[in-house]
Amino acid sequence: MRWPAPLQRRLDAWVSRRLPPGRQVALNQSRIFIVPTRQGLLMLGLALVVLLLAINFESSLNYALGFWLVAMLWAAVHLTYRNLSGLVVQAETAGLVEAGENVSYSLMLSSPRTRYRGPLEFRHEDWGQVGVEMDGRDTQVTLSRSTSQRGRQPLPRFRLESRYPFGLVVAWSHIKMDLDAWAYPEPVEQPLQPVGTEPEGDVSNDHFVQTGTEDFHSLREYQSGDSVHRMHWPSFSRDELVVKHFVDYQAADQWLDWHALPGLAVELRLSALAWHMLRCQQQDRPFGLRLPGLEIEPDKGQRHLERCRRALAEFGELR
Amino acid sequence: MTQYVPIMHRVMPLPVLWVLLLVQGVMVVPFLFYLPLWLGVVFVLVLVWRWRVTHGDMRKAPRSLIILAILVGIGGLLLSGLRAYNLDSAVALCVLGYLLKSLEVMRRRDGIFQAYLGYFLTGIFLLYNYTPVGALVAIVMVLANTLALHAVTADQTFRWKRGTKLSLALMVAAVPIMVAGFLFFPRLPPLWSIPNDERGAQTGMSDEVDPGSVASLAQSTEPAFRVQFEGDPPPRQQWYWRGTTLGDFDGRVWRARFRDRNRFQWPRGQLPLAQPGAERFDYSVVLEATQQHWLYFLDWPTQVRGQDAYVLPDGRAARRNSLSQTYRYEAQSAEAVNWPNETALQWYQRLPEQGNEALRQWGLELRQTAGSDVAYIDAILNHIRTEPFRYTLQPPLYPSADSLSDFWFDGRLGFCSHYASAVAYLARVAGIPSRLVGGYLGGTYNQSGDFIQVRQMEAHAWVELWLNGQWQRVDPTAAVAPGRIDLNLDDWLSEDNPSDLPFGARFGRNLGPFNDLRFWWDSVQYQWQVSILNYQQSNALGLLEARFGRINPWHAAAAMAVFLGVLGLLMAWFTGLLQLPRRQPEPWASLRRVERQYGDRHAGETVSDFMARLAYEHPAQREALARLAQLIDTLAYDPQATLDASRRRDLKQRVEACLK
Repeated sequence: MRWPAPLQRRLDAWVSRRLPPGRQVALNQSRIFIVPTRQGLLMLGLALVVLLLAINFESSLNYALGFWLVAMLWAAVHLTYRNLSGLVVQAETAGLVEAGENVSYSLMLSSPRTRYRGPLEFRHEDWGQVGVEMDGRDTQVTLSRSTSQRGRQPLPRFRLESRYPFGLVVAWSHIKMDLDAWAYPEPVEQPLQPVGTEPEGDVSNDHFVQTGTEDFHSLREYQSGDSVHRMHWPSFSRDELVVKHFVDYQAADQWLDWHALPGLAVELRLSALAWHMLRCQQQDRPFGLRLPGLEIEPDKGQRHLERCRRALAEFGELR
Repeated sequence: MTQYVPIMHRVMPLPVLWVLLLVQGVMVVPFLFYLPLWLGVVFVLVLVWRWRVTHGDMRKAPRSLIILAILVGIGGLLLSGLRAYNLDSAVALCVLGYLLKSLEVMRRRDGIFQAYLGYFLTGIFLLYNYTPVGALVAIVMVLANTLALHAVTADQTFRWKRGTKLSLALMVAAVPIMVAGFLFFPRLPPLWSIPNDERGAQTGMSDEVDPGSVASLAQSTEPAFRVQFEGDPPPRQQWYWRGTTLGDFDGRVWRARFRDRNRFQWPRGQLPLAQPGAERFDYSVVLEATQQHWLYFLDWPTQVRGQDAYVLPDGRAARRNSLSQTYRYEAQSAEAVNWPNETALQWYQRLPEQGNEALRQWGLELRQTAGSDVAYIDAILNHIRTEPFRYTLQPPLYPSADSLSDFWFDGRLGFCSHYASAVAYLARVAGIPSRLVGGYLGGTYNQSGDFIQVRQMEAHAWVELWLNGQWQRVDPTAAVAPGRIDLNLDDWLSEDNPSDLPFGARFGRNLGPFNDLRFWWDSVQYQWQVSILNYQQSNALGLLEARFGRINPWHAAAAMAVFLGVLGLLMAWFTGLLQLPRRQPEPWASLRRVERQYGDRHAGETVSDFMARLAYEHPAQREALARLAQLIDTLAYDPQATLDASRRRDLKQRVEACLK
């Protein structure tokens, strides 16, 4: 249901005051709302029709049936309320993705008392509905939503609802978890400019970092798939299959520097850095990252890449 | 990422469709006893289609099948004679709709619709069957529909066991409010009148009697009504329960003056009643639904008190609306009454010009010789007694226009209506006003329930003659079959004509336990009718007011709030929402007492460390604390240590020693 905008704003403000965020949210009577569903109201209408039957046909047993239906609606309130009551929602982890991709958040549902709680539904317009059956044991839920821009991707305030077991009433809570995912910038190719602070070439410190095409390095045994052009023919005459191995030499530590991309907007700079990171990773070269106020020593590997990407994602956030 | 599908539009999984199919069966089968059997055909048709659906062919029925089902349904309706608009045909249509709707049940919304329609049909079912057994069936129906509602909501997570448990829990939890509502909700008069409110067949006395055309009297052991007397009931010979009086004779058929047909010409207002002249009887009657208007009471009535009941001038009481439910009323009768001035005597003397000439001549001759009206009637009864007349429930047909003559001179075989009809005719021939009375004779006294049960098979007809300024009962059946009046019908039939006794009454007559069981069941039904079916909310209110004084709306509201509050707390406790603080088990409770006196244990401090610290801080208690620490340690950590009575006493003493 949508309210007029000013009312909606006040409602949102009230909800966030009433239900503050946290790493762990335990649902109790101050957080759970419960009302009859449309289906439940229909049940009430049905009970009235049965009462009409009782009155007009002077049918005593239909009085009983009519009140039974009303009372069942009342009893269903308790049964539905206890699905949520005492439930603890714990923030676990959230992902790090490229802006524009889907990011997922994982939450843990637990309960001090093992009680079957039926299917619970996590609803938000970003992910539609995610259902999970909670049978009293700890249950993990993964919510996922799309990202559009770089930066912090907080888990939005979502609605956790239960209509189980009869759908006559709906109990729900609006939950805001203190859980952030991050989106690093989308890579965009931009040339790096040499930066003055770059230490002058200490060539002896050079080392080959990758298989290349420029300098002969050694001979090695032929493997299927090697190009015929690299065949070492003199050895072939001695009945040995040997190919020439070439490498490219690179500067020892590639520094990806914020200042190496002058004249670009902030987001574009970050995108360019992300592109170069990806390229270094693909070429299996170590790289370091320098951002204003942050320096990450050169290294290689997935963990390092994640760390640098995280730095890009968090750039500009108050820490 | 899943697209959000509005809840009501979600397609139901197969197990849920199975549940819905089963629930449909539970709902429809009980109705087949009341509605034409062709509904079963439609049910099978639907079943076949749903079978396909539950085996994976998730499609709605094609239009051709739906049209076929509708045609079969409507055709069946017409063929079974449900042409008129009345409750029977409305219900048949409703059940038909319920069946056909299920052809396209796929989404949650449809499932809920089916369950709700099911609840409504349960209410309809209770209009047809309101016996204790019917109520049990209705409970099963409610359970089935609640289960359906649960299955639809639980969707993929549905499990039979859990669903049944939850549905039962919901129903049981709802019982207190249901009972309160039933007891205290005011019984309102119908908000509008229901046209053609007939359910099932008519029973009891009808407005017309044509004795010559009945070849065999149906013998039904169904109860007609039950009577409870305040004080002692009259002797069995006086158990004449009158219903209709038939005063209009056309040569063959006796008709009532006020009939169902001319309901709107019935006289209104309070009419002069017969004044009680001798011993009175006060009693209440619970009448089964007859779909007719006539109330039954002991000869002769002086008062009738019941909702919408009133006395008609021809010695009857009636309700303007037909009796479609069991109906309870109170009446008073007297052994003898002073009749008010009869204004329609001429009408009671009227005879057709033609027909039954032989009997007319015979009667006129007999009147001549008898000398007086009373002697004339005596002579007639004597004639029946001496001539070879015989009482039978399987008489020959007397189809001619002179059916009474044929019976009197040739057949001489008949049951009560034949004899009554002939005697009433003979009386009119001599100018004595006469009328037939239709009702019941006899009954069975039920010891355990202290009531008299009258069954349909005890139907009877006798004659009333206006002699000496008042109506007098003459029962010619007494002349031909005196046992019919003196004995219980079962006893009399099993002596004289055992083959006339219906199977239901014959079975188990000589089996004591079976007979006891039947009496017990009769009295259960009587109690059910009195306390449930004819319950008035003034009963409970009266009890409360007698105890607590006059109840005003504020009291009522407060009582309701308290009731709901207590109920809510109970419910919360049962569902585990509310937990009562639990007593700590020993030895921790004892430890807690020590802590309360000396201060809490520190975090991570063991019991013995704690006690050692206390002993250091309170040297006077060193000994007692050490002893307590030792016992607590044993109880807490020795798996063999059990807390028996002596240990418990010991523990208590040691704690108290420390607390001094």
